[in-house]
Amino acid sequence: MVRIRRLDVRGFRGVRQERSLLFDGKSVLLFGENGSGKSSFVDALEKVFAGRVSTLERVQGLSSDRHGPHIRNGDNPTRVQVIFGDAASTVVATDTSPDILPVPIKDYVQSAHENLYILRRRQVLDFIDSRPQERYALLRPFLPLLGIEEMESALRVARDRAQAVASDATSTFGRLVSHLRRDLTLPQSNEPPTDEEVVAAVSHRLEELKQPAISSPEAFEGALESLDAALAPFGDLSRQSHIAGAARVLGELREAVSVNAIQELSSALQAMRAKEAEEARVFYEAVLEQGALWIEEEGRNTCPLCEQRITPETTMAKARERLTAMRQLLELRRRARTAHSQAQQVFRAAIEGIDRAVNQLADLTAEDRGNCDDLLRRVKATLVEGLATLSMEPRDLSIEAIDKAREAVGTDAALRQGFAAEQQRLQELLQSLPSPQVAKTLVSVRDSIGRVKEAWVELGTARGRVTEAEAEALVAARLHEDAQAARKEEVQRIFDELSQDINGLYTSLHPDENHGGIRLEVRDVGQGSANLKATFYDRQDEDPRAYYSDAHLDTLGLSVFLALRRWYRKQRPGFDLLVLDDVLTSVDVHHAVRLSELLLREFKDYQILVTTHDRIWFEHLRDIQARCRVTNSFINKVIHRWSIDEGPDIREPEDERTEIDRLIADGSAHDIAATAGRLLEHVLQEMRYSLRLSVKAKRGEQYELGDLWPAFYATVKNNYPTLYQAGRKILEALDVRWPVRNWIGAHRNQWAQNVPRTNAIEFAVAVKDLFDLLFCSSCRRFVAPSATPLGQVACRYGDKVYAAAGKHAIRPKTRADLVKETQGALRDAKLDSGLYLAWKRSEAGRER
Amino acid sequence: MTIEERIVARFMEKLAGDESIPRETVRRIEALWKQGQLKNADAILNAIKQGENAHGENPTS
Repeated sequence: MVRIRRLDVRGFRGVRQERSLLFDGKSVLLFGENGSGKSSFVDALEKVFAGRVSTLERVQGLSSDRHGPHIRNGDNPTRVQVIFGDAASTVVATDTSPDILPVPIKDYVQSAHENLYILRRRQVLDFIDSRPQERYALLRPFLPLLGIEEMESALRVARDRAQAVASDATSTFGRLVSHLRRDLTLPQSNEPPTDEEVVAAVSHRLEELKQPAISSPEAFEGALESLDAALAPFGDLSRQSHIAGAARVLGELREAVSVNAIQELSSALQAMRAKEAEEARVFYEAVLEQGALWIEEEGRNTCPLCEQRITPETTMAKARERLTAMRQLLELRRRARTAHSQAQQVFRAAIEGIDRAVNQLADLTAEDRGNCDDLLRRVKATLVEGLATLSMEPRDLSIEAIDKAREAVGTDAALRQGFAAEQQRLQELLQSLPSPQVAKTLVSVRDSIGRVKEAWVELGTARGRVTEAEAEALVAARLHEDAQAARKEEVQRIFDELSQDINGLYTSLHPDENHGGIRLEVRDVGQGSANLKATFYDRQDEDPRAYYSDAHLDTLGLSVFLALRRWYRKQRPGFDLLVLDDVLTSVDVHHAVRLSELLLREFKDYQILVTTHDRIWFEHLRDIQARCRVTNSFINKVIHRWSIDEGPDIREPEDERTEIDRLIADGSAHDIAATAGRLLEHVLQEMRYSLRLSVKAKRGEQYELGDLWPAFYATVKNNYPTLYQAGRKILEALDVRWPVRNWIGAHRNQWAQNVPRTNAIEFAVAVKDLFDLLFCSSCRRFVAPSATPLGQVACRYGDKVYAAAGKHAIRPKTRADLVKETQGALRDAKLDSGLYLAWKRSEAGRER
Repeated sequence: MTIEERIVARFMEKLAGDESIPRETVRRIEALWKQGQLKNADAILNAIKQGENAHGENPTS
């Protein structure tokens, strides 16, 4: 079995200096206060195996590449690697290619690629709190269904495409029906017209044109042939069209060559010239107006120009008379200019009209054109000559020339009569030819029946296409439905299996409680979604969130995860890693103990990493290891402290003791004091829990020597006299010397450089002696107060016992003794913590 | 038998019992699965079309 031997971390998350978490192929129970770096090791495991830290990746804007390295890492490279316990001690780092790994390790790493073995505190309720679709997505990685999903996806695509083809065919069919009904002038409907409707509609059209009716849609071709025969005598209908066009243009031209504008010009010029003759001696308008103003406003009686005496009233009347005449003359000149301009426009338009007529007549044969060419040429020459006459300024135009032009285009003029005659000739010619209107009607009906014939054939084809496409779409849909149903049924079978396991785990955590009935269900709707239901007293199939307490939901979340982990193990037996990162928060001690038992009983063949910030749970789990006889397969580690510059301190006290021996031989005073100080702190941290030291609470529970030593010394001296007597010299020496650690070891003070090395050695020796006094190298545990007799302090195996005051030392009973004393009950109840605790309580009561 | 194999076996069972699907189509879908072509929508549509054609020619097939 592939197992992890060691996890090395440096410069990653909360670990700055290199730290190695030793597994040695065993499970690890890791205790540390909040913020001591426990989760950094969990993140490191995920980083090695998956290349990411899911708790970082799932937050927008965060990533394990950017936020994984320690914040004070600087240029030092991050190092995260796992050393496996195989013969070759295979190393897997973040940049190791799986291709170079031995097959079992490669399989292991591939299995660990998905985060299906780590449960973090914040993820405990993810599954419970999810919506059905998200819940299925969480379950999805546990279900190896990639191939099935691809198949289902292809079947879905095939179904959608078949349905699209059927929809197109239906749409085409509908369009053809609509066109056919329109061509047959039948009421609009989605239904295709019947044979009878088509025959009746077509026959009606034919009969209107005096053509034979048809008896069936197959007779369309015959009807078209008879219409072609009726159209044959019309020959080329373009001649009629051109003649009609020429006649129309000549009519327009006759109206265009209007004499009205010339007549207006002639009369305007005559009126203007008569007025000009009458007012030959007219003054300038301005002189008249200004003179009248001076005479009126200044009351003058002399002329403002010649100073001759005048009669103002007479002179003013005369001036006003002259001004009126002047304004009439100006109006006549404006009228003449307008008439001149309009006459020019009329002539130009008439010339352009003649040019258009010439083009129109070019399509006629010479015979059909008759005298038109000559007529148009003469009219154009007359108009051009007239326009030349009109090009002079109105004052220079002769009335005679204008009258001559008017006569040339007048109503009775030869030109206009010529236009009328030619128009008449062309219209008579047109009437002598076959009617284009009749031909047009025939052509229209023929086109319509032609379209109906084609649409009728297409309709038949489209109907067949619709039937075929609908049948294929139906089959495609059935295939997809059957595949989906097969997947759902199989997934439900898996869910049933999982539900049974979840239920078993949950009820073992909550025996004799009216909870359970946990059931995962595949929802009928949706591509993939899962319901979670549970029983609560007499309510069945309820959403557990409706009734369960937070603690119950927590253990339900754990049960779900553990069941899924076990399911995944069935798929990949070679991968046995299970990580629970501080997952117990709201669970009380009894349930925590049950969970500990469950883990050790049901998951003893897994390599487990359990982290916790709960010291009580840590101690329970450690105690239970012995009762479950799995002590040798667990390593229990304590993170003593954490600092930003070093990270978690997970060094073993025994290793530090050995290190002190080495430093005493050849180390510096600073190193000796620092290492001895750290060991003393470790010892006192352990004693804080086991002897329940009364320490003034500090934020983050970061207690230092100054906090711990006085409490320890007082407690031992007052409550455990035997222990005090045994270690009196050591305790008193340390009561004096413990500050040495701060002076020399913790800080590099200038003055401390001169402290003699012997002082550091004396401090270190005292710390070593205290360690030896309190730590049992056989059971690798520190001494703790015995449950009985009260006041006794002993290690687990009894190799180190400090008797209660006035009593003999009593070696803690072996398991065999306990089984004997309980008449075998304990053997059967070896994992029943309730019974064990009850026995301990009764022993304690008897002792009192 | 893997989960996927179980699901496909169940799927084929359903097809066999589904009378709305022509037998020839079922045979062709089974053949596609054996050839690893059941992830190809074009191949599936082709199988449906050919199955329908065969069914049109011989409705008992």
